[in-house]
Amino acid sequence: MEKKEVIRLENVYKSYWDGEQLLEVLKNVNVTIYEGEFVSIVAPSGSGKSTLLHIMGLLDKPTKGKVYLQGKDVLTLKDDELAHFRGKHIGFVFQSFNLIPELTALENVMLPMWIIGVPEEEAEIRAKQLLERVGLGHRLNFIPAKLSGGQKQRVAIARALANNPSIIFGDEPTGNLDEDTAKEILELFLELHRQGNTLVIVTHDMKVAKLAQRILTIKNKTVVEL
Amino acid sequence: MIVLVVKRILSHKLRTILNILSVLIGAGFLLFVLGLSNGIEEKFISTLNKLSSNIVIVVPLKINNVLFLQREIRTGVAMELFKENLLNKIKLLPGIKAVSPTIQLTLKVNNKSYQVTGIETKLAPQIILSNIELERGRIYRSKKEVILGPIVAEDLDVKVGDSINIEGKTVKVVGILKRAGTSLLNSDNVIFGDYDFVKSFGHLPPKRIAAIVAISENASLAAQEILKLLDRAYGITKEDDRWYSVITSESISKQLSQMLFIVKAFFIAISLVSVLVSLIVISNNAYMNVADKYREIATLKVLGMRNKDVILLTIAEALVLSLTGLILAIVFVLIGASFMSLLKITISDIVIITLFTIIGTVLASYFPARHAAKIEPAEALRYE
Ligand SMILES: Nc1ncnc2c1ncn2[C@@H]1O[C@H](COP(=O)(O)OP(=O)(O)OP(=O)(O)O)[C@@H](O)[C@H]1O
Ligand SMILES: [Mg+2]
Repeated sequence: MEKKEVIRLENVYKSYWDGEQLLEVLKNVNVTIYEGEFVSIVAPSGSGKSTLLHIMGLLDKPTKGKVYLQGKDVLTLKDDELAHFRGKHIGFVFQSFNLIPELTALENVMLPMWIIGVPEEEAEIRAKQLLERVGLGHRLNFIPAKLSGGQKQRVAIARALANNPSIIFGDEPTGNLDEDTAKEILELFLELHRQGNTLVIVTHDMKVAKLAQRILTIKNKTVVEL
Repeated sequence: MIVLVVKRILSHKLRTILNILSVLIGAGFLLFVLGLSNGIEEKFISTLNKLSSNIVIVVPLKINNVLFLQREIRTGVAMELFKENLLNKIKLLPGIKAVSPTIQLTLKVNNKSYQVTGIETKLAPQIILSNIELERGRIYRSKKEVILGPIVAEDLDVKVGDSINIEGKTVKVVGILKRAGTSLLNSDNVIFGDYDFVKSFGHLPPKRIAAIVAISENASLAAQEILKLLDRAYGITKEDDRWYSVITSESISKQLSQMLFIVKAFFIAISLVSVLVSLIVISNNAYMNVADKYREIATLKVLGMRNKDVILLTIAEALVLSLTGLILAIVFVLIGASFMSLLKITISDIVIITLFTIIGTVLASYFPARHAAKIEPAEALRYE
């Protein structure tokens, strides 16, 4: 069976102006993520994992090279089109959750749907379903401050799933959690994978990385299979 | 999305309250000033116009400022006086219905000082009653009778039929006028009596008159005719050389409006300073919100929010605060207006101030909003 590609980076370079000198972080990166894959990126701190994730997640633009989402060259899009495209196709889960503190769990999950203009009732029904799916059906109206770390991350995962994205990125999603909670969250990711979602998770923990079917690393500023 | 705006606003209670308060004060003050100047305009100028629109007064004084009118007539700083025969010439002008010499003196009445105005007895019904109605009694018919303005009557505590003492002479009160407010004859505050009777207390040279009062259907036209007549009679060619003035309620309200306009402009300028301060508070508040919610805004952008929506969100937050302040300001000023008759708020004032608030708030929050839109999510979320 022909594998369908979701994200493809082609000869991607990324460098930053660090004061006076140019700091090259990524160099000649070529990666393709296929539909239904669970990919982990494992590399030491400061090696450019987040940078790579942000480029794949359409949050940041490469200095040089091309980025394709489902075959579409996204770098030709205008900023606002790109934002809308990102909202529809990409889900993010962060180490520090990044929930909106004033909104309830339910509203946090509805937020991505509000942003791309899903009707209110539809958004509410879907958000409830998602929170039930991550095991938080009984915490709909709790604000983040009233939730534990693991619960916050579950809300974040439900939020990432809100617009039924083509791909979900996790940047150290278990980095702020204790071992047991981390296990639960990883179990949830595996569950999502079994249900057919495409996942890319960044970690510096090899144990976590090994849960994925495909492991990438960054060596000499470029991405290689492990 | 409204949920987000409201909840974000409520998350900074003190800041929100201060912002609302500043708009409340700025907009409230401006509305108060507008309302006050409306009230003053209505009270003084429109009643003046309504009440004495057919009266023309000719005085041998150069009057540059209506505020000093009363004082100048009273103190009699006139250098020259009109001759009696001027009356006949004015009588012959087109459109003039009645002409009387007039004089106003400050006299002791029952040992208090009052303005006493003399108008010829046979012309008194026409001149006085064409403008002001009698509350009770009738107009004076002889030198022994007077009528009182309502404030004088109340002040002296006299009724129709009572006698009063004017500088040692006893006269009978035969009528009391209705309250008229501001008018050219200042009728509420004066005593009207026969011209010769009042003149007898002054020191006019023979065959001279201090002032003339005329009645005409078209007072401004009559005023022009009289002025022309005077210019010809005294050989005056330049306006500056005139030592006399012809006053109508229209000429006074014109001058009053001009003065009121200057006063109004001055007060509006002051209240604009407070409006400016409110705008700075709004802008600063929006900047603080952006700085505080740096990560949140980055998150919204991660979730697909477009730059223009980030701008709208920031402006919407500022607008909710401003409009809350504005509504409170309108409510307070309207409550004030129900107690203070001089405060007159019109729909157009409210519309103007609402537009002003909306435009001001959008401008004040636009730059912070653009600042928010420029946040780079990748950059903002790098520091976990
Ligand atoms: N905006 C920036 N300006 C300058 N340098 C940057 C910028 N973003 C990242 N870098 C640099 O790029 C390198 C890679 O950063 P990145 O955050 O991608 O690393 P990482 O692998 O995610 O590290 P960690 O495991 O600590 O999260 C680092 O040396 C970092 O200092
Ligand atoms: Mg990182």
